[in-house]
Amino acid sequence: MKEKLVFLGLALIVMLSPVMSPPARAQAQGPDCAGGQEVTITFMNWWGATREPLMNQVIANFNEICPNITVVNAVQSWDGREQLVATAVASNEPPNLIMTSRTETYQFAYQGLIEPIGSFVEASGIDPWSIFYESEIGNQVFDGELYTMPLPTAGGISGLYLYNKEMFRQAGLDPDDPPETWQELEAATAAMTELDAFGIAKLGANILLVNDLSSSFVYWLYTNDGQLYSDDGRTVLFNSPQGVETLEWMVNFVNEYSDGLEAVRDFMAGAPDLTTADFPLFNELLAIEFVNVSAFGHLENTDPEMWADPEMWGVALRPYNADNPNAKSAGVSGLAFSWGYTIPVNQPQETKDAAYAFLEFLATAVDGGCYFLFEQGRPSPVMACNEDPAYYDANPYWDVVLESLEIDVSVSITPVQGQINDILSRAVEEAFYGADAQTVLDRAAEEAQALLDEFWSES
Amino acid sequence: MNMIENRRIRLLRQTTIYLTLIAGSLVVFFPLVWTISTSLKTPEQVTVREVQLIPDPVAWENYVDIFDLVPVWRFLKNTLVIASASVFGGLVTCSLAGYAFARILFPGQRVLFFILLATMMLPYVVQLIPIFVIFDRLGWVGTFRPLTVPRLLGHNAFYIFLYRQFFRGLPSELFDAARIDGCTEVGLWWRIAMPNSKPVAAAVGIFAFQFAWTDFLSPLIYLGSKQEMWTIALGLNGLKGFEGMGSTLPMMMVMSIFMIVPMLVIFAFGQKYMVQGVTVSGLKG
Amino acid sequence: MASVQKREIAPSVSVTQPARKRQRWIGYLFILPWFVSMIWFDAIPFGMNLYLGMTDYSVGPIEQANWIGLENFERMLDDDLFRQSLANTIYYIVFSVPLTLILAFSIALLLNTRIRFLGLFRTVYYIPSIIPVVAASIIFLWMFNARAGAINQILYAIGIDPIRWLTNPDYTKITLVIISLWGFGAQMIVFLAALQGIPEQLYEAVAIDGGGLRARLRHIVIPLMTPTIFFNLLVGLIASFQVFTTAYIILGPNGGPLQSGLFYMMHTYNNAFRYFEMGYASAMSFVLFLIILAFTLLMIWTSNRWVYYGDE
Repeated sequence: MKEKLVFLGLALIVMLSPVMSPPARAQAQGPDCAGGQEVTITFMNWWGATREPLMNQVIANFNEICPNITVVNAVQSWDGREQLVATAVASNEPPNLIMTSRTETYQFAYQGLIEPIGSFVEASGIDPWSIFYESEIGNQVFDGELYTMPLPTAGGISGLYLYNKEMFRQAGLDPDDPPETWQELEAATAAMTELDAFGIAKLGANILLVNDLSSSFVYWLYTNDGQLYSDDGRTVLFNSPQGVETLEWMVNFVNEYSDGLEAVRDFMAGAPDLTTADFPLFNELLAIEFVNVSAFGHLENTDPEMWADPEMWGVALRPYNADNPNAKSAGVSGLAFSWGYTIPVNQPQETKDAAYAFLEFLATAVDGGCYFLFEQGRPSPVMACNEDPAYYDANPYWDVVLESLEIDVSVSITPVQGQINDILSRAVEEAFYGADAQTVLDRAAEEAQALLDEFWSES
Repeated sequence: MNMIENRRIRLLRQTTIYLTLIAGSLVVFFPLVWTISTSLKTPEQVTVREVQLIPDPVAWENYVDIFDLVPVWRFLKNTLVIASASVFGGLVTCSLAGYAFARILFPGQRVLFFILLATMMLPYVVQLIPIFVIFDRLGWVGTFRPLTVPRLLGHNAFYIFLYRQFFRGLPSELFDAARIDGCTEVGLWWRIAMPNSKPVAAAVGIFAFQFAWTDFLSPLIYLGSKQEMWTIALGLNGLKGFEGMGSTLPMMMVMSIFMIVPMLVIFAFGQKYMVQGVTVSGLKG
Repeated sequence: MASVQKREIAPSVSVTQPARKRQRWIGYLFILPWFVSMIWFDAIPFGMNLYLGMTDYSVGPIEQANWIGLENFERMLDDDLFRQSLANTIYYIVFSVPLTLILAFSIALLLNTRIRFLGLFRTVYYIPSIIPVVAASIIFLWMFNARAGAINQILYAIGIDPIRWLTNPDYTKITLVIISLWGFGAQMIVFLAALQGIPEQLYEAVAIDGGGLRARLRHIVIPLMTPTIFFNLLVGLIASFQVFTTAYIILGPNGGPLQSGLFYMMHTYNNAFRYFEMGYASAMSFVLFLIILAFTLLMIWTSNRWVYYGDE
């Protein structure tokens, strides 16, 4: 009898212990650290230079929660990246977690090379859809399955521009009233552009990504109420009247106000990014540049004087076409980069679990992704992180940044997006060299549609 | 011939040669000067558009700080391992093969030589994946073996071809005489062919070292995940961030100097062998 | 000498037979390591490539590729960029290969004279070959920068309008050819090595006959160097068919304005690693191999006319 009671008591305790143990931590702090086993995972990523120490700190923070998982921060050089990724996934022993662009994520998902994380997410008990902005997490879904979580934002790359207030003053423009429409942008550029024997001496606005004409076009298209594809991603829509109008506007803008495409390319060449001290915007040679949200971190590092004085620089939303009643400022999300961290299929279950544990920490934890991005002065795909008041102290234009994230629209892409990008770039360039906008867009649309049709028929 | 006129012509010739060489040297030397100059700058001084050769102030500390950023000695050591295999392969295995193609008659020699030439024509960019797959299935990814073993086996058609051309140009009499004296083929290679081909061997040694020292793609895909095994070429490129390189450019130039100096030393040493041979009678095909 | 000749003229059968047999297997032994490496790292990958060229291989383990026969090759016929990239490559080769050769040869001649500091000069001229690509490309980008670059500044100073070296599609290939001249170092070294093989007596013979430098060049150096010239030409040709890294860094993955600098290997690379169309890239790579082979055979066949293999 006594033994039975003891046994019942023990059984009761065993059954009730889950209820009696401390509740699981809220939100993302509760990954199951791969069951507590000792695991080592290789994390192949491209966060080099100034970001490497930040990532090392994130890993250290992760190890306080999961000390049993050793994360090897395999930072790679950007050169040769595509070949490295291709050989890595062809291997029998791929890295355990790979940083991939959205096109790569989709391609690998399509080929069945990476693991959907739906079951991991469920087991962990978090709800990505309430943690991330909808477009951010939506970008990491392929064919109905979630494959990874985003870091940094896929959005915030096209909706903003940085401007030099000093140049506005010099041209007699109001530095606190930056252009909001295409037409205002034209007027401002005309006022601030100066030419010389070598081409452009001072440029009012650089409306292009000189080496990525297809993205340049798409970003402007969305400010003219245009679309790249239909919402289901099956039909090409960029050769619509809005598309033609956008392309014609771009070509005219560059020819009228900046002496042509070649002049702009030459002007921007040599110091093409914000990490070099002689980037024209920092030297009162370029007034308006369309940037992504990493710009703030670069500005802080490269020209701290300018960064510290909000009277020297400003931020505004991408202008829209005032002649089109439906047009408004918009940004495009998920066309370029849109990094995710994918788990190759070809590995043992323990490392997959460990890789997921780290992924969840990296993407959602306050001292994971949020910390990583805050240190770079850029917003996070996690909604809650962006409300951190420290951001407002660091960046005087933080509310504009958040506003731009809200006007981001996600594009539905397919694994063949890489090819379509190049097709579109060629078409846009031809228009700059004098071809008729409608003709080139129609031709590109035909080629792109063929690729899309082929893809959808095979999947 | 008038002795004085002769001397004058020679002086004129010498002077023109000197002047041309010096003028060319300035052009050729400039990139090195730029590299050194950039390596002594701080990131704010980096102006990619203009040229400012003397930094002000000079950032000597870059050459000390680099050791905190990058495990330079380890990378140099790793690269030395690969370079040694490359040089050994170039000087020994390739040379033996070149000698056989030049001086030993064996059935199928012509066909095999043609295959040798054909292997030079295989575009390497796409060969990358199949070769990687082979090494991957062998389990050699993440080791030095994909970089050393082929070299040790003499897998370089260019060097073999080069040796073959030179060895064929050596006078047959040299070999026949030694052969009649009972010399083995290996002996012929070691005692006749090689000593008379110091310039070629020096050239191959220089090439082999240079290639191993600067090769980036193969170390990247075979050693990528294991930073402790990186070569300096990888270390150099690893400093490049993916959103622009302005901030790390000076350090990248410091690494460039570390790469350049050993190669200059090897070359300076090797070119001493490019002196007129005595018993050689000319290159014949 | 005479005794050796006598022996050559009258070999005895019993002596040569075993000697020849011994030569045979030693030859195989000498090339064995290379042969093994050739099978593993040339032949098998070549076979794999050929196979992949007939599949729809995209990315990932190659076991997943599906057979599609000659579809990839048919696709090449319709591909505009295939034609354009091939044309760009041939244009580049026609200029770059001979110019680099002439430059390398000239410098090698200069560095083979009896001057002081010869070793120092030679080392200085080796420098271009060893500047890491990262540094060299920045320097080139600066040099050819249309606004602030050295070349345009100099041209402007002598009254010529600035040229858009890197952004004008008519000039990009010329720019790349000029940049390619930077790679003269390897050929220079080969020439230097080969020049050591010319015996002093020949130079003296010409001097005695009253010939100057030009005579030396015409009658001794160039004829004796034709095999090396042939060698460098062949190797240079094969190498430049595959060139694309510099253009990739300087003009971007699509070869710059209007794809004027898109080379064949760049197009292949794009298909392989940016579009995940590795099957197609493998097919393109096989076609390139055939093209190079054709050019090589042509070169070898015509070489009999101008390459001088004789003695004296």
